[in-house]
Amino acid sequence: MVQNHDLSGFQAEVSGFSGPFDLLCYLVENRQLDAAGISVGQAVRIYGAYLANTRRVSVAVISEFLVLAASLVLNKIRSLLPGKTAVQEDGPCGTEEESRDEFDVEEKLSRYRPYRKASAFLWNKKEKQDLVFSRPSSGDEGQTWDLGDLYGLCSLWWDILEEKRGSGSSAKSTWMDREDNWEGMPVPLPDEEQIDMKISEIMGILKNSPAVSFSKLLGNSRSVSVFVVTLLSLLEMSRMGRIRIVQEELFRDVLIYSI
Amino acid sequence: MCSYTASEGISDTGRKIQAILFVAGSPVPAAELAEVLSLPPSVTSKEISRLDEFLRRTGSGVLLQETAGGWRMVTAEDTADAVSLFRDTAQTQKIRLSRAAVETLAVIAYNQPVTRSEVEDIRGVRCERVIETLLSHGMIRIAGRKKGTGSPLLYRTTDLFLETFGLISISELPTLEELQELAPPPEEKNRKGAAGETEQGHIGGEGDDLP
Repeated sequence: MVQNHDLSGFQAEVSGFSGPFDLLCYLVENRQLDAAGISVGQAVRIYGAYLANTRRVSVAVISEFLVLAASLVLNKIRSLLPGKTAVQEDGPCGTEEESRDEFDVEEKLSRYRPYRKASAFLWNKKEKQDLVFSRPSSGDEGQTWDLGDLYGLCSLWWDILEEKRGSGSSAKSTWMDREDNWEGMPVPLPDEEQIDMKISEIMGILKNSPAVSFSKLLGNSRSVSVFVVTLLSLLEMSRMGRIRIVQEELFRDVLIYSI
Repeated sequence: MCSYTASEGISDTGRKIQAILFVAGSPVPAAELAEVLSLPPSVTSKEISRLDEFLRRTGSGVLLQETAGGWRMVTAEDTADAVSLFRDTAQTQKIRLSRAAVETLAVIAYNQPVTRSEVEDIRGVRCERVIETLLSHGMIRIAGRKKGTGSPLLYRTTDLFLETFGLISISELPTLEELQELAPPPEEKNRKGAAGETEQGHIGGEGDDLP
């Protein structure tokens, strides 16, 4: 086991293993670990001193480490090793907590084990795949554009809108405050209601056709208000899992599919 | 020299498919081939299968591979040694993955869309850096935010993940129940020897962020 640290926190590297659970499984399954021989106090003291000496590890990292050290080394390993009866011999006061910890670790490991096998399955696929080569992507094709984080996109949009609202009164008066520019949308109507109406409209269109383009939804009206309401409606519908939004190429039309 | 002619089993359509896949830099879906060649999808699929069979039968150095929902031309496995020596192809083209990275990918692949904390809960270790590195290499992508406290980011695997592991789609992965029935991981035997080794330059590194 190799320990090192950097500015962003303490890091433990376990060569040949994907993580502590992987190592734990291996040690437990191969009976290479004797829990009785582990001094938890000593282990915590040594690592605590090491972390303190680095002077670059946050209190949160140290506390997390202590929790992990205590739970992993003491409860988890002891409860996984054969001889559970010995643990119960400690007396009635500790039995309930220990059996809960035992259940917790066993549950976590039984949940983890299939992924360990899945990892091995993928590793084998990768090794086989490493024997074949294909034409490298030229860069000007195969680029994918993903709407990705809809929350982020929405936040960004509102930030831009706020910025636009705050920047200069001339711009503000030209398109934000002029009611007649919000064509197709009754101005006193709350935003949520406008979006609800638009969602109903889009769902109506998608009932008759499996897909519709974004430009078709906008129709001849290219006003900012219609664009905003349509975009927000699509984002909301996508969030609700009612539609799938696809743009196959940059600058191509966006297609909306009903799910 | 081997000359491929129509009489040996490759049709004009097959030759066109071969030519398209030769110039393509990413897997081409059968539907796209059908559209380009103005053929019904069923005919196109049959032609792809015939071309695939033809290339394998004639011992071609390049073969067809179905991956990430499309088809692409790849080199034959037995030519790997020669190809990897050619202008450091192996170094420039192959993505090296650590065990931690593969395990993280496995958890994401089977649970997508999934949050980082869910991955960490299953793996029992912090995965922030591994996930960041997998994101930067395009193996996973952000797929929105989960509803709830903090609205954590959700992650999904990408087509590059499928290509890297030679998978046609996520559904090709065996179920977790099927995996449970499999024998222990084959590399288990070699763990003892590997425990002292340190590998460099892998995505995700060997370890994780220990909490």
